[in-house]
Amino acid sequence: MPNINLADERRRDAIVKAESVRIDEPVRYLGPKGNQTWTRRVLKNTVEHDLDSLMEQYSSAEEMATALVEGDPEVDIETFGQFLWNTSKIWMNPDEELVFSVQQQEEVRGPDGEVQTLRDRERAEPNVDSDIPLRWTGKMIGRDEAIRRFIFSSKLQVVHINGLTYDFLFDMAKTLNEANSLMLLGAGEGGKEPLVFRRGSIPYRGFLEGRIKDDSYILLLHLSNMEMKLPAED
Amino acid sequence: MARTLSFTHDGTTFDASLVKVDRDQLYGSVRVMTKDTDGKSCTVATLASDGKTLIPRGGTALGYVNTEGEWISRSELQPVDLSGEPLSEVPSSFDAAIVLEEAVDASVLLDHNVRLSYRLDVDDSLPNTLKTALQAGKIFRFGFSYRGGISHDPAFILNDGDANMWMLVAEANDVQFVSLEQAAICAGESIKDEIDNDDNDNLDFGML
Repeated sequence: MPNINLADERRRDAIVKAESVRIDEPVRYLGPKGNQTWTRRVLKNTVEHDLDSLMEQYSSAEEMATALVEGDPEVDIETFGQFLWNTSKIWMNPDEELVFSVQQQEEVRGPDGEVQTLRDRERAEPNVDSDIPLRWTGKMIGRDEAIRRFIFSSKLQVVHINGLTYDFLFDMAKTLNEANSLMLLGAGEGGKEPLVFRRGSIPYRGFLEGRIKDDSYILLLHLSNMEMKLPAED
Repeated sequence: MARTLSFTHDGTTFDASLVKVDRDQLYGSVRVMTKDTDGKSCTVATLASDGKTLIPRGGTALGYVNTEGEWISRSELQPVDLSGEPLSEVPSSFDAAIVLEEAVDASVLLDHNVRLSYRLDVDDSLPNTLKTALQAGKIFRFGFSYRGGISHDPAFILNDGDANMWMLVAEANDVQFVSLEQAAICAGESIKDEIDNDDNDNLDFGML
């Protein structure tokens, strides 16, 4: 449950929590005996048994094909099928050797698919729990308009951590509920930057929505990185 | 080629072609290229816990085992809901006409995460009652499954500001009101891992 540093319309800020609202595993799978099953990752192939390695063992593709028909040179009976635990993601070069030092570049393509630029990889730093709070930008967008302008692909529920932050968030939800609108939030010094939750993760525009019922509230942070509009060629 | 869904509204059936719209089509895309110090392209692989077995991309698979460690084939699995009740399979939404009858308000759609967005291409057969309802801002909810399976995903049909018809395939969330007594626990990881008066239209999504 991440922290976020959030300011209200008066620029009073507080650290609060943002909870996931996802519904976990609505479906379970039972085996034929009626007991619970789990998924396990198993080994299917290694670089010693892939196509490149097999080709090195035989003088021609025909010879390799014959060997595949007559036996199982592509299978290591001792290891294939074993459960995999504590694996690591690594980089491998075309010679199938482990690489310890890499350089990364980004190839940026436009909507037409044409390469626009090549640049060193950029990793945005997280900015939702920094010294500078997420601010109300003043851009209010009605609920009905918002769902027709933006594709909200994720959301977090903002919740209080004590009595003081309850009042802080309840007032925020009340203001937004009365406006029947979502407030665009901004990050960074100028309060205009998109929200970044982890280093290098997808930046999102954040829209805060509030609802109240008696003395309870819902404060939802809707996240979007796409507008509801047609591509240029349409 | 775009696939076609059939819908029924107010007793009238019409067809609509699905045209997927994604972020790459609107703003372009970024591809990360990784090279070693000699300039050779690198690919992601997996190193097993023994520290020496290199597993290429596609070299692992997922399988099901039960509590006794026995291998269970996919055909033997019985899907059940959280309370243990068996779930029946649902057909693909392309197999029969989808009935559009449940109108919902904006907050219902806002409670969902949108996974996929499609523009619906409809010819002149769109019923006038539906056309009028969508233009008036109505949103219709239905269950959608592309290939069929154990459950439908919630999906919505609505018009955008330019009267284009959209279908959004979503996933439901659990959004609940919270009161003073339901304060979050402070312990937990923090995410390590000026009001301006610009017009709304100045939002730059391409920079994301």
